[in-house]
Amino acid sequence: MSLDKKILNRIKEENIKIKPRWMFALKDFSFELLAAILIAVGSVSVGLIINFIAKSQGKFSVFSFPYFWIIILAISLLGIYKSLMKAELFYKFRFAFVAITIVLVNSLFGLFVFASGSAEKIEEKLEEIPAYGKILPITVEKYTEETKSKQDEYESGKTKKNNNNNKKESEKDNDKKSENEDEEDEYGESDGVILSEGDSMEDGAGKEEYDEYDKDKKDEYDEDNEDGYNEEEDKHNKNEEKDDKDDYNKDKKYGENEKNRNGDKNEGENSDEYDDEEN
Amino acid sequence: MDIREIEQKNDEEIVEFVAKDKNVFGVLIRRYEEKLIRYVRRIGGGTRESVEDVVQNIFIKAYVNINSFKKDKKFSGWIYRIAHNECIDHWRRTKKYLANVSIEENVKLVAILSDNNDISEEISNADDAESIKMAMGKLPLKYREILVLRFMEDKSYEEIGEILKKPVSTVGVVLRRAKHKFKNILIIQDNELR
Repeated sequence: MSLDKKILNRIKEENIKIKPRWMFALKDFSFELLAAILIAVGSVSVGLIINFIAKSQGKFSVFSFPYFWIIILAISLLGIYKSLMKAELFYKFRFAFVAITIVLVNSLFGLFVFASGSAEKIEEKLEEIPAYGKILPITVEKYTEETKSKQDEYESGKTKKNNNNNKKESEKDNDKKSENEDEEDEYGESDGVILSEGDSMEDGAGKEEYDEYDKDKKDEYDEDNEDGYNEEEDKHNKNEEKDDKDDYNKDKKYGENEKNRNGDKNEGENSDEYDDEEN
Repeated sequence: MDIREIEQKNDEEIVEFVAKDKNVFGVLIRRYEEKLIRYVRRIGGGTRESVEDVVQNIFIKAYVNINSFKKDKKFSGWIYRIAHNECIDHWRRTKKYLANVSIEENVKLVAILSDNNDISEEISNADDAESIKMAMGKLPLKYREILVLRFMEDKSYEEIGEILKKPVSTVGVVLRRAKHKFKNILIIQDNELR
């Protein structure tokens, strides 16, 4: 049997049918459509990359470059080439020519996407998608802004901590002081104004010491205020001041008693003068 | 329409009648069966039966896809393209290297290539047809195919470009490389024999 008869018999026996024309048209169209979609995707990628470069004003590092869009662009370019070849378009042209044409077309459309402001809008829309934020390239500006805000947060947190530490320290000091005061009460002596046995209020020695002490306290208070105002500490200081004054009065009475014991009336007058000054 | 009338028409015109009448396809089979058998044998070799199987598959594929043929193209280029794809598929399926190319076919090819100034000396140095057959067997398919299409099927660069889906300039480059490769294989073989 001749080959032509064998083949025709096989067609009849196996009921082999011709594929309809629309199937081939659809196949060609789908490849052309795929190429067009990939050109659009590639153009958007180019537009977003240009937008990123423009936004960062050239201040971008290797780590902050939008690699996601570069990968998408590379895949698009490869897909465009493959789909054009499958659609049997451009096969008569050299690879270099087709590749350059595809890159040029993508770049031109990408520039158009950027210039028309569509790139910015697309990016805004994409930023609304939570998943996009994870792969979103960070511009240097954004990065510095974020870093600054984080630094501010950190610093404010540190200040708060410092304030708390200061509070704790001052509370400790207060405790110590109150302990000392208790001790003083026991011995009838003041930490701020200690009158030695020989001293008397008449020469104003106690007053000078008190003034010095007062000044030191004020300096300490000012220093504390520089770090941050502490209301509790302020109250405590005021109380302390009051206590000191009470101590001073106590000491004064002690001096008077001493004087009375010695029978010196003049000195008592002087002390009254001093008392008036104080009041 | 009568078959005898159809036989007077060219390939592209006949294709239009195939969808209406299966038997019209027989006219195209008769026109191309010998050419394709030769082509398959020259490229892939193999026994007569296996070559016939491959050719049958080529015609069946051509019949199924007849609607994909574009009228502005040449039918010969289109069916050779199917043959090229089928040969590659068959070669991949059987995984046999194309060493069984017939001596008769090789001698013919060598005779044509001998007229070519590039490799005439190497071919005249080759001892016998067997060594040329060995050299052809070692030649990669893409080089062997382009040599067959150009020198045995007398296809133009444009037609070869259509069949292989390559630009004309690339066809010229591949053809030059094929001749260079064939020449190198012949030199190496000659040195090994001596």
